[in-house]
Amino acid sequence: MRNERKASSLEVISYYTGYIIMCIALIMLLPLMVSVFFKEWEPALDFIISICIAFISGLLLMMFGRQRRIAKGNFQWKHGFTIAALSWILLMFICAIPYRLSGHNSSMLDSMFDVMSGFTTTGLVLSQDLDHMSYGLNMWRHLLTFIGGQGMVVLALTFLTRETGGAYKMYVGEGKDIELTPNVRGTAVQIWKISMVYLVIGTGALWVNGILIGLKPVSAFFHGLFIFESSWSTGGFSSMSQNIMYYHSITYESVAMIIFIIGSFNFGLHYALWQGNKKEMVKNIETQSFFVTSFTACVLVLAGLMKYGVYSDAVAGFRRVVFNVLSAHTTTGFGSVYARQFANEWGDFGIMIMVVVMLIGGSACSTAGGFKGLRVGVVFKGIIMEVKKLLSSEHSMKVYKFHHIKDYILEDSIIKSSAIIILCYVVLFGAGTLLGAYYGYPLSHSAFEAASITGNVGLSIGVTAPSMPTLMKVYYIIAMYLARLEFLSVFAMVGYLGGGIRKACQKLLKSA
Amino acid sequence: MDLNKNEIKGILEEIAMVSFFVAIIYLASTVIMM
Repeated sequence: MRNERKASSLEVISYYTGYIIMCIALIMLLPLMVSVFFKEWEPALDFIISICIAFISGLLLMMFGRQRRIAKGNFQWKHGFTIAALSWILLMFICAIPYRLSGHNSSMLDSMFDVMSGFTTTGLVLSQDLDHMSYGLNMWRHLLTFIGGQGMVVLALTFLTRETGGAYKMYVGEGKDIELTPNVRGTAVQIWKISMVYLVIGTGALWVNGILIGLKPVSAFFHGLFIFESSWSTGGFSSMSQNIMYYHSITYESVAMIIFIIGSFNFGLHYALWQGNKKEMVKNIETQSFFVTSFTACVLVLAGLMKYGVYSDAVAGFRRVVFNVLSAHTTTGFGSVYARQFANEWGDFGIMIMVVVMLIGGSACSTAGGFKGLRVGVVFKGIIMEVKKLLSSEHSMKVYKFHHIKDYILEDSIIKSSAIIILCYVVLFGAGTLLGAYYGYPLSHSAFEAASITGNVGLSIGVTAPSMPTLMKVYYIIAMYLARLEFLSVFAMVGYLGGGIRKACQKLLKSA
Repeated sequence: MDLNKNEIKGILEEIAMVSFFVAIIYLASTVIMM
């Protein structure tokens, strides 16, 4: 007779966290295959070891929570949030194993930093000697950022053979809330469909471009694939230490730019355009916000740098300024100037504009980070609404709206929740800036790096390095994680774990 | 992966609109740098 007892919260969380880890173990087969293809035997062995560890960990967690399979209807919001937040932490450890075994990182902490940077599509690296990294490990780095952009939960949901009661709660827990189809699994499949179609188009365009600039066909393919994965997920990783500058090509940079701008858009917007609703691009509050802020930032930085005569012609201005500003605004983090050039040539004015655009970031429910254009647009419209209310007659009742895929009434609760999340980001950014200043970095440098971390951008002014203080590395990992999951899931997980520990302590005290 | 006519049109329009935006910024940067 089957055991019909209700599964405990721990079993539910354990089962689905194990499921997500098992999915990642399967994904590790891809870099393993690349390593075998290029006869890189040592990296191949690293991946075999990592796959075994991931598989066993996932299996143990699923076995512990196997009761979940027969228990129905007890999946709560706290489970969804905790699974999303916890799986990211466990995966950070597991996915760091190939990095650490490769010898490109000097410590496990550095490896975990790089993994979190990849997952959160930040793009800052502590790995050394990138130019001599194996194809297999490069494939792994870029896959992590590509999967992180779409979301690990989204990935797991795509593979689920049937709809589960808790699917939507896990999906929201990962910082996504758009519903493209009536069921959440259909939405996850649509997100992957959009990404895979652009993967083919973008990799193809970069591959042809790579061949035209003199790369060998196989090398051009992998460079194209890696740059696409980084661009689309607004990650900013590159297989070369010179980042996008390695290619010395305006067309290569332009193709990457178009991909990362599209990648920073909301999946709901892609879906609406694909359904033939082309007006959405112009009407949507997020794209309106993005076009206005990015255009203004480009013009301001260009004007500021022209004053100092940093760049002499329009092409240099476009390639060095516009590229970097858009890379920062979309939270991609490809850099077409060296870190020191930001510090020495851009001046405080240029750096502060970059800080602002990095914090604003891309669209909600996209691969991008930052406050998100939606929240900036909502708060901006909220301010206008309040001013209009003040100026209008006391008896007039006007309903204010904003458009984001569909029309929404601009309610106080929406403005309030947007403002709270923005405030959380500002606090995270402020603490990061203070920490950098405490360790002796100039204030503008600390602010630049903190904005890059908080917005999951990846541009660096030179602060992020293997030699930076351990506490800063730990803070940066936490900040990237919090910002990517948009605080709520992590707070829920901490609250849930805290509550569990308190109950356990109370039980112990009673029994003693 | 099946793509219908509408979806292909949507992809091309999305790429065209973003390219147009990049071109406008390029033009603006040219004007500023003159």
